[in-house]
Amino acid sequence: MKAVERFEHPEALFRVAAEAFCARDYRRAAGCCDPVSLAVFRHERLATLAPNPRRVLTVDELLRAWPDWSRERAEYEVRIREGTNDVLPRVRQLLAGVEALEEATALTPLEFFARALEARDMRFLLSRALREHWPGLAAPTPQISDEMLAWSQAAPVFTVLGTVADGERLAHVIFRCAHGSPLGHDRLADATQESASIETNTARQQPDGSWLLVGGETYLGTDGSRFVAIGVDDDATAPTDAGT
Amino acid sequence: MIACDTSDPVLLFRSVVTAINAGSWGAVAAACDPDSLLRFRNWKLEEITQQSTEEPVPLTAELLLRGVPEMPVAVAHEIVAEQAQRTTKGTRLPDWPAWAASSEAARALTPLDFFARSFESVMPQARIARLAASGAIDAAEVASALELSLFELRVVALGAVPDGNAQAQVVYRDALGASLADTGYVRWLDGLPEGGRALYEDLGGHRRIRTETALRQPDGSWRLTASTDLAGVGSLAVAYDTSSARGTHVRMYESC
Repeated sequence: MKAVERFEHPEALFRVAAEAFCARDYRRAAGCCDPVSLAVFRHERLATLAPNPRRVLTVDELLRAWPDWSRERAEYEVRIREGTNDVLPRVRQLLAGVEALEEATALTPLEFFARALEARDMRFLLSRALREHWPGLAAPTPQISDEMLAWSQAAPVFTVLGTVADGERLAHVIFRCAHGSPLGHDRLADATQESASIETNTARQQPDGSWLLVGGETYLGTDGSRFVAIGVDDDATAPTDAGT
Repeated sequence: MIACDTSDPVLLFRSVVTAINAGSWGAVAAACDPDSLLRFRNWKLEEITQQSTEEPVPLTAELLLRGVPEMPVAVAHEIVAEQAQRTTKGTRLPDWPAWAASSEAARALTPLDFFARSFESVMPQARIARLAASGAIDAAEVASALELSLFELRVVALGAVPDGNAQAQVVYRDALGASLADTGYVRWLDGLPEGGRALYEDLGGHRRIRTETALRQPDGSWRLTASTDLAGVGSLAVAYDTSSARGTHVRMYESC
């Protein structure tokens, strides 16, 4: 296996990570991370995926806690809570290409983070959303424009603004991250403008003096809570708008 | 009034924090870019006008069922009735203070005064005072809540990075508080993989790294972009609970 890359400066490291992410080389992007942060990420995410140890309250228990509720409402609430205990949808949402909790558990911290990174890449999110709603979609159709497809698969544009030190062992890389717009405003060209959000990524110095990024929920400006919304006109058979 | 140091983005940010802690709202406003003060005022005036002229769209069972079609109709009606009762009880925190009750009164203020008052209004103390005035919490609770709200904003400016020719991003985070080991997280820390504890000690838990935009002025000085979330103040949420079992109490937390 290729030796871990060694970086003397957080900014150079960030650029490599961003470039790898844009190229969809998620393993390399994950490889720019502090291995402890990857192990912690895997540990914490697996804890959230584990079957919920809290059993779902029964209808009678809910009615004791909320005496004003009707029985029908309590029964509905129990059904909802049982549904959120279903692990598989959460595994699929967290990790790209993983279909079972056992598969997730077997992944190394690096592979786990790489799959998580892919799963929160807007390109992956949009492809999956389009595929799930329009399974036959393979190429531009009269309903889905070339522009929308191109936008959905365009790499984000990262612009590094600089780095600030935070004590001796931490530094924060400040950057803008721009995605395109499906509505014709091509913000990719405006990555240095206000339209691109300001993001930060923390880097941590290793015992040998080199730097690695801290992998986590907002690594490279990705966000685990991001979701994709696709708008469809009432009488349309294909998406008319998309966004995150 | 405190005079903020406008010679450098980081010094400016630090003096704005000092002004916030001193309750010098005029100084905070004066540290903001004039164009952004004007934009802020226009945007808020529009919001006030809308709020004073438009009736809020009430939640109906039909709307709820459109969003959650699998919900039984009877349950939707029950939730809507509960929501209506909650709203009429006045448990929603008032968003706007008296000075902004009408767009005419607010429109009479200069952009600087408008921002100074708006900023003061988002401070936890002011929000709790409005809560008390609305009668949502009783006098004893107000006293303890106000005591709780006399907090000191403790943030550390780490530096600034240029963002184009006339703009810089000031980078800051919350000041480190107690060691994680002293904050009740010991069991959680002990469960982390090897090295995890040291990582979190280094990171100081989940500190958020934030940025504030500073703009260079024609005379070479710097000003911050006007926002009621300056230094993260607007992200502090004030919530209260009227549950009879636990009694009314007020708490503050970071909302995002």
